[in-house]
Amino acid sequence: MFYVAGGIRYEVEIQDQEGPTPRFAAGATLAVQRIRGAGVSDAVAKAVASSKALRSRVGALSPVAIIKPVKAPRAAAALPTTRASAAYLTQTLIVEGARSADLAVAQEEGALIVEEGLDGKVLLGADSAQHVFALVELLTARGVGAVAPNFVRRMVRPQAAPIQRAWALAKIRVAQAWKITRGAADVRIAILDEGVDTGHVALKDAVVAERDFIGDNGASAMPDGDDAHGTACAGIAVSRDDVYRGVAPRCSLIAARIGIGDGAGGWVFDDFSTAEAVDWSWREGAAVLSNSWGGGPPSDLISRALGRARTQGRHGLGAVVVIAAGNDQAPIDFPGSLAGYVTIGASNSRDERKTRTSSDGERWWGSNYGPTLHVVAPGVFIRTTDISGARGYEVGHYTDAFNGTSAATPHVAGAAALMISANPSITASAVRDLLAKSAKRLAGQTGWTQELGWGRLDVAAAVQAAARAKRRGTRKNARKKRGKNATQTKRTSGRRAPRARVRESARKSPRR
Amino acid sequence: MKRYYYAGGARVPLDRDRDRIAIDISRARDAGLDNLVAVAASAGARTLAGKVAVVPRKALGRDALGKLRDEKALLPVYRHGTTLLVPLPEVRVEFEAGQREKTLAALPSAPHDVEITDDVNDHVVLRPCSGDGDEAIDVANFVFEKVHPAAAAVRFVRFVPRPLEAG
Repeated sequence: MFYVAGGIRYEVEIQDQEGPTPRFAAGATLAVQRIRGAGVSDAVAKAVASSKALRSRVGALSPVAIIKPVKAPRAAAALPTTRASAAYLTQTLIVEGARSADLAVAQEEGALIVEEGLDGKVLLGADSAQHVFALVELLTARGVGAVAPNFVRRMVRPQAAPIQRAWALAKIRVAQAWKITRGAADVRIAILDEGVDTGHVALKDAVVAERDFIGDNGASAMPDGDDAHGTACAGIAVSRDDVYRGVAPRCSLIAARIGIGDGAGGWVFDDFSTAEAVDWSWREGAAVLSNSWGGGPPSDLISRALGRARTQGRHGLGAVVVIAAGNDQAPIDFPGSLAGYVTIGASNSRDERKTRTSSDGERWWGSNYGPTLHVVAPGVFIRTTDISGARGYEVGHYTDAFNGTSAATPHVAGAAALMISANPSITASAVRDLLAKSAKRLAGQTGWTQELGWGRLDVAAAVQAAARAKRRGTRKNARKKRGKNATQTKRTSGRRAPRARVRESARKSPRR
Repeated sequence: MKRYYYAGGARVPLDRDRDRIAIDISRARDAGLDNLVAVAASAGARTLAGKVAVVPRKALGRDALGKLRDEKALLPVYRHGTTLLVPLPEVRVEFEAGQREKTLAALPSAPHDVEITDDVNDHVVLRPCSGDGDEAIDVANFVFEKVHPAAAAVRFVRFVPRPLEAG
C-alpha cells in the first residue's frame, strides 16, 4: 500500500494494536464506554466517538499505520508511531484536483462522496483500508492533483514541553552575553542555504543583501514553496522577534541562495554557484558565513572560495566560516571536513552529544564526527523563524522544532558575530581559538575529541573572552604608544602600574 | 577505466552510476527534444530546474538516448555515497602567478579539443568542444597534472539528501 505526497512515495504497513478495533457507525450514537481497554488507541477512539465530524468520516478506526518514505525523506515527513504520536487509517481518502471523470471512475469502483470541501477537495469513503489504497492507486494513476488516505493523527500538543522548547539560548548563556553586546549592525552574517524568507517579520529589518545563485530570482534570495530550511537557520542567528530570538539580533543578514529542491525530496547544488556565493558573501562584507549544507566529495572551487573568505574577508582580518558537520552519525561531510574552519556538531538540552541513542528521543539522526570538529551547539527542538504563512514547518511564522547540525551552526555563527561586535579588530582565527577555549567541556570530557570538539558553545564566555582580548589589545597599544613617547622624552615617570593593572584585571575577568 | 578528479592536490575517485543518466535540459530543448525532457520529468527525475535532469536510464529507450547523445545533451552521472554528481562540460582553472601562460600553452596537447569561454586575470573557463562531461574531467586532470595550477576543477552539479528539518 502506498501513496505519494510532495513527490515522495510513502509505503504504508499496518501494525496490529492490542484489543478489539473500535468501530464507529456514521451518524449513529456510540457510547464511549463501549471502548474497552486503555492506551493511546483508546484515547483516539474516545476522541473520535466524541466528534460528530470524525464519526462521519472514520467508519472503522484501523490499526496504527507505519508510514515510511521510500525516497530520501525530510525528517519531518516520516510519521513516528510512538505512543505520543501516531497515524491511524480511516475508511476515507482525500482527493484534490480531480475531474468529474476521475470521481465517476472512483464511484464505479465503490467510492462514496462523503463531503466536498473548499478548493476542490473531496472526501471519499471506502469499504476498508485496503479499498482506500486501491482507490489511491487508481486516482494516482489517473493523475489527479493529489490523493492520499485521510489519517486520524494523534499528535503531541505544541505546548506539551514549553521548557524543553526554549532551552537552547539559556543553555549557551546568550542573555549573559547580551550584557556586553546584542550585536552591531555593521557585523553581517551570511546565511548560505536554500533561500531565506527575507520578508519575514523577524528578519526583514536585518537584511542588507540577498541574491539567488542557483535559481532565477536574481537579487532575491526568497525560497521556493515550502523550502524553510534557510529561514530557520537565519532566525537562529539574527531573529529580532522578542520570543523567538536569534543569538545576535542586532547584527545584519546577508542571504545567499545556493541550494534548491530537486523535485524528488533532495537538494541540488552547483559547485560554481556555491563558490560564487561564498566569494560574493565576504565581498559584501560578511563577517561570518553560516553554512548549514554539505555532502559529496570535495571541490577545490568551493574550498578555495571558503579559504578566501577566511583570509581576505573583513579587509584581511578574515571572515569566520562556520560549517555544519552533518547528521548521519558518520564522518563529517564536505566542506565541514576541511581543516581550519569552525565545524559544528549538535548537542541536546541535557548537554549530550546528539546521537541516535541520546536521551532526546530523536532516533533518526546523530551528529557527525571527525578530526575537524570544533565545538558542538544546540541542535534539537530549536525555536526559530519559519517561512511566513501556512507553508513551511508549521502554520504561522515560527517553529519550535528545527533540528540538526543545521540548527547548531547558526548558533555559533551568531556567537561569532557577537564576538566581532564586541571586538571589531579581532581576527577570524582568534574567534576560532576563543570559541574553543571558552567552550564548556561536557561530562567526562578532558580535552578535544572527535565527537565533541572542544565542548559545547558558551556564548557568554566567548563574548567575554573577545571583549577581554580587545581590552588587552587596547592596553598593549597604549603601552607601545607610551613607550614610544617615553623614549622620545627619556621617560621620567614610572609607567609600570598599567602592566600591574592589566594583570589584576585579568585575574578579575570572568573565567570559566 | 576508473575516473577521478583532483581536489586538494589528491585524486578523488569517481564511481559511475550506470543506472542513471543526466540530460542537459537547455541543449535538449534547443534540439527540439522537449518530449524527452517531459518523459524524464514524468519518470521522477531529480532536476536542477531548467538545467540538468538526472533520470533512470531505463526510463529512456535506446533511441531516445541516441538522440540525446547526438545532440550532446547527454551527461554522465557519478555517485559518491548518497550524493550524485553530474559533470557539466566546463572546467575552471584558477592560477597563481605565471601559471596562466603555461596553461594556455599546454592546451593544444590536451586530450580533447577545448574552447576558452572566459578568460580573466586569475582564471579561465574551458569547454570541451564535444560538450561531453567526461571529456571535461579529462581536460581538468590534464591541466592539473601538466601545470599544477591552484585549481583545475570540473563544474559538478551535486544532488544531495536534504538536511534534517523540523522534527
